[in-house]
Amino acid sequence: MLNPYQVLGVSESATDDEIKKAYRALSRKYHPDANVNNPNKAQAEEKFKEIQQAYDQIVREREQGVRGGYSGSGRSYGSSGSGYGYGSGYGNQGQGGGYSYGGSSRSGYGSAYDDDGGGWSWGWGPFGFGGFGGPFGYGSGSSDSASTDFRGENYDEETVSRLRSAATYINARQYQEAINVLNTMRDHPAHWYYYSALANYHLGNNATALSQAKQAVAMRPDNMQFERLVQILEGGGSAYQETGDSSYGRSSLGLLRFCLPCCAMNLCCNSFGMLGRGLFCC
Amino acid sequence: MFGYIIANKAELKVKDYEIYHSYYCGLCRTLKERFGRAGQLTLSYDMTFLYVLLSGLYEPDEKDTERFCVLHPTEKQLQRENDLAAYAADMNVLLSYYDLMDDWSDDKNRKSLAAAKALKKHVARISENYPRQARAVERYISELAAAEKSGEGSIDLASGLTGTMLGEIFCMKEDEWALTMRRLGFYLGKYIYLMDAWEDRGADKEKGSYNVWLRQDHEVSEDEALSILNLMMSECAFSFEALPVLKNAEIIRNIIYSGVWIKFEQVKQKAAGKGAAGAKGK
Repeated sequence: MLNPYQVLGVSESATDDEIKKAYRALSRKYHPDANVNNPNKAQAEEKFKEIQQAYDQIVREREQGVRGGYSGSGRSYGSSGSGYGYGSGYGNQGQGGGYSYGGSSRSGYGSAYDDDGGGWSWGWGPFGFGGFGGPFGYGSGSSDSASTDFRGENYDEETVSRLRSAATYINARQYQEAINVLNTMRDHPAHWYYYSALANYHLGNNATALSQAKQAVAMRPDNMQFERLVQILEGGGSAYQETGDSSYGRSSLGLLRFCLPCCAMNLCCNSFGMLGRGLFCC
Repeated sequence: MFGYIIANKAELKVKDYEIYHSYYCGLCRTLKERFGRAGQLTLSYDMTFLYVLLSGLYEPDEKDTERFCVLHPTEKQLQRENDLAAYAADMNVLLSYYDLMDDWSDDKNRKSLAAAKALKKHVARISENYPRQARAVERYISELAAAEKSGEGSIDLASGLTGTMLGEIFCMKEDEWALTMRRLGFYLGKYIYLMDAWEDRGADKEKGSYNVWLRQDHEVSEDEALSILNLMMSECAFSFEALPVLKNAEIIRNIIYSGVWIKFEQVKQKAAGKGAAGAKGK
């Protein structure tokens, strides 16, 4: 796997904006839409995949950094315009041929809306696919490398078997299935909370995920994996708040006492809106 | 419920504010051209945000035109238009239609019914062109009703309905950004729903109406609520940062990091003012 920064032609210390700019330039060149009449369009598509994956990876790593508090909390925008991290791109890294343009609505981008009520399964986020987030230990590139190590726990066979099953589902990005298995368990030990948190996060139930992750930590305060999960889930919120306060004057919002002409928007316009819908501005 | 996705004017550069305004006016213009006056009346800041966001992501060719308009008969307004305005306009009408129908079924508001009727034929056409989005909105209305009826207690599940719906609206096409746009819309939708419910909780308590905050096993403090709301916006922000958006980025960040909190802060200020006045009067 090539160095993603090299693929984009930027240095590792490039700012977020520089990364984006580089990506856009390469995308304009290699995007399938731009190569419809190109006899070498297959090569272009391959190259585009490489570019997309590289961008994705950088974005995910930087987001992890921001959430984990490694590169300082929050970002500061404004003058420099550069931040510390990104949200991740979409995850489909480990799978070949993950693209489909036009046509099918579900394949290719890891988009997995389960019409049977399974809900959304993001498949990415700061955990990405195959990166941190596999319940078998973080940092492992493959989903199965580490054992489900319930060392020091007194779990009975049934519990271990179900937890392992849930973990397998999580690694396979089948989060609703993981939740289903977890819901069959009567006992809720620390690892139950940990896996529930992971699965719930990926289903978009982030508030539940955080509260469950905290529960896992409360039950096993010396488990670094659990602690790390809380950090990642909570760190996002802190980083966001700090950015809001420092760059956008969020903490001084309360000082907006009046509606300026063409306003602090909606509030005064709401009374003018024909249907009370806050339409036209002055 | 909508009306939170506005800009914090005080923190926007004048130039950026003018650009934001030109998108707003451009959307209004597009609504008028496509749907006449009835369409114009549906204009919302929420879909203006989508318009600005999509424009930043896809960087289409844009045309700025100065025109007089019904609200500004003496001073020409700059209207920014591009191909994405049509999508934002269509989504604007789609959402408004269902919102109005909802008003009618909730409070038998005749004005809403009349307004909805004026849009009906347009909605039919929009639904044909965007079946996925139309289906998402229809589904949302029925699932929301079901959740309220059953007294859904999960903060994530209750707000996730709005999230899923808005995620579909934000996902204009199934391309390499589909997942990230869905995620952005999803968490924004959750935020809007929860913020709206938070502000309504007093009134809902009195009326005995459903409110997810009132369904928790303890009385939720403002700190706790803010922390959850923060969590939602942080995920939304990470999604935005994952997009290679350079154009309009400052406007978008202003909205995501601080604009969305304005209404809440101002309502709080107002309530505090009332409280103080009441206390003085005693």
